[in-house]
Amino acid sequence: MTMAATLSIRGLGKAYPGKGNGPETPVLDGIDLEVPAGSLVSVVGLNGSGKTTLLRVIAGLEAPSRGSIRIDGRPPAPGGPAAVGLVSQELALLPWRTVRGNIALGLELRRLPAARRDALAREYEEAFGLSPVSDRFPRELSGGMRQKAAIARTLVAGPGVVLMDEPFSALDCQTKNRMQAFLLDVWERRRDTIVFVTHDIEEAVLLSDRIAVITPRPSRVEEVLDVDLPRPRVRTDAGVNALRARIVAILRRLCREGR
Amino acid sequence: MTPRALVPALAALAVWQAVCQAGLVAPAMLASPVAVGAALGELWTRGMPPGKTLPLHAWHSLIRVLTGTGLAVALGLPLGLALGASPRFRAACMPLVDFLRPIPPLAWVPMAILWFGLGLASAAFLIFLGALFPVVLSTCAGVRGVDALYVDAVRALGGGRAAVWGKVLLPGALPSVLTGVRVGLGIGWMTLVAAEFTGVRGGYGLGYMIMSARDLQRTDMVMAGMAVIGLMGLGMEWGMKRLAARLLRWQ
Repeated sequence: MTMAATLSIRGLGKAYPGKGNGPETPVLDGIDLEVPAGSLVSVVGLNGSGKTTLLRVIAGLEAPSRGSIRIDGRPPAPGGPAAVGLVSQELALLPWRTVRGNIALGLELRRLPAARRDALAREYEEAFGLSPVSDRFPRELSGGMRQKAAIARTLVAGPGVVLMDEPFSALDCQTKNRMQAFLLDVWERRRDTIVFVTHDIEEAVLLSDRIAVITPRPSRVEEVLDVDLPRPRVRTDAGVNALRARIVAILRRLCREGR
Repeated sequence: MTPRALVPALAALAVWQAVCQAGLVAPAMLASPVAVGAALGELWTRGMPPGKTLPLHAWHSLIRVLTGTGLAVALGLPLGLALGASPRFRAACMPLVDFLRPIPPLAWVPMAILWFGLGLASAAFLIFLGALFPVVLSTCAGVRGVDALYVDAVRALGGGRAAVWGKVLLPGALPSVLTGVRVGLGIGWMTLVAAEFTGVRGGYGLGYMIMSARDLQRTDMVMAGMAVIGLMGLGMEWGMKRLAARLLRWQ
């Protein structure tokens, strides 16, 4: 089960080496971010502002150039029982595995006994409404079902921090709304620590406890806004509109300032 | 196979029979399907050369193809995986592969006879050479074609090197590997018969049987031998397709 952890990021920098002897390309320029245990924090920024890189570094897929990442005060142990889970934009369900096989993947990697693995996968399939498609392959699923399977695969592995990289950006409007409601429902029951990256400001306002607005590359956190609006939130609510307008204004200013 | 797939084959047989029966070509140039059928019966019972019957020829050829192709898979699979996974290994070894690849297995016949004599080893070596490169290249392409997304997904779930290979690269490359093995088997058959033309110890093999029939100007038996090779190749192709369909249900 979930043991939501606190994520603290201090001065996180990431630069890619330049070609040949060329100058390196800085992508992240000292990101500071606090994500309290059990909270849902969104990171919004313009396209190409290093949001995906930020998540890849937190997930341990890439090494940071400087700065620190702490999960409940400890650096994430590479290769250990995944302290961090990632739902990538492309979902990356293994096409040669069924829904069951995909959900069980993280449990296999942790060498859980088969019986335990199966029971857990079944439990999550039921909770996510995936039982009827348990033995289907990803290509046989609808977009929404694929999302659910990808989220279930990440959550079942029991990460302390869940990272989501624009998971709903490829969905049609209807499905997107449904998936947002679904995610909130799951989160309100489980209270995972979630870092949700999106360029959809409305989505960030509807979902989050807190929103970090980051600058274009090289990115740092420009402003952190607390969202003190009661849930469920409605798109047309005055508070939602006001906050959205505030974030748009910040992004416009960043765009104008050329950074 | 559906009954529909038989229609073109039956039509071709009918035209062929009609051409022969009308006396448009001499039987020595082209035997009719009926004559080929009769020759098959004769090959089965009396054999060519007499006493060496078709099932034994076919059996020997089959063993040679399977041995050679099996060796090609045994060596080509790990080689292709390594080439696909490591850009450095690829840069170092690909020129060698590209140098050896265009040399036809038949050009190796003298070397094969020098090194291995006229037995199974020699034939298997030639088939191995023919089947090796399709297996290597397909496997390499298969590994390279696996989307890095899936590798990241497994790593993000805490998987190490072994997990990346076992859960992602191998299953992801499998469709391409199976295609390589299919192509390799086909080339194996082509190489085998050509290799047997040059001589086999013991005097068994479909290629040897065809050459014996040619020496006696038995066009019907030559063509019957060709048909047997075609059918065995077809059978293997079906087997491979069924295997692929089972293993690649996800596609």
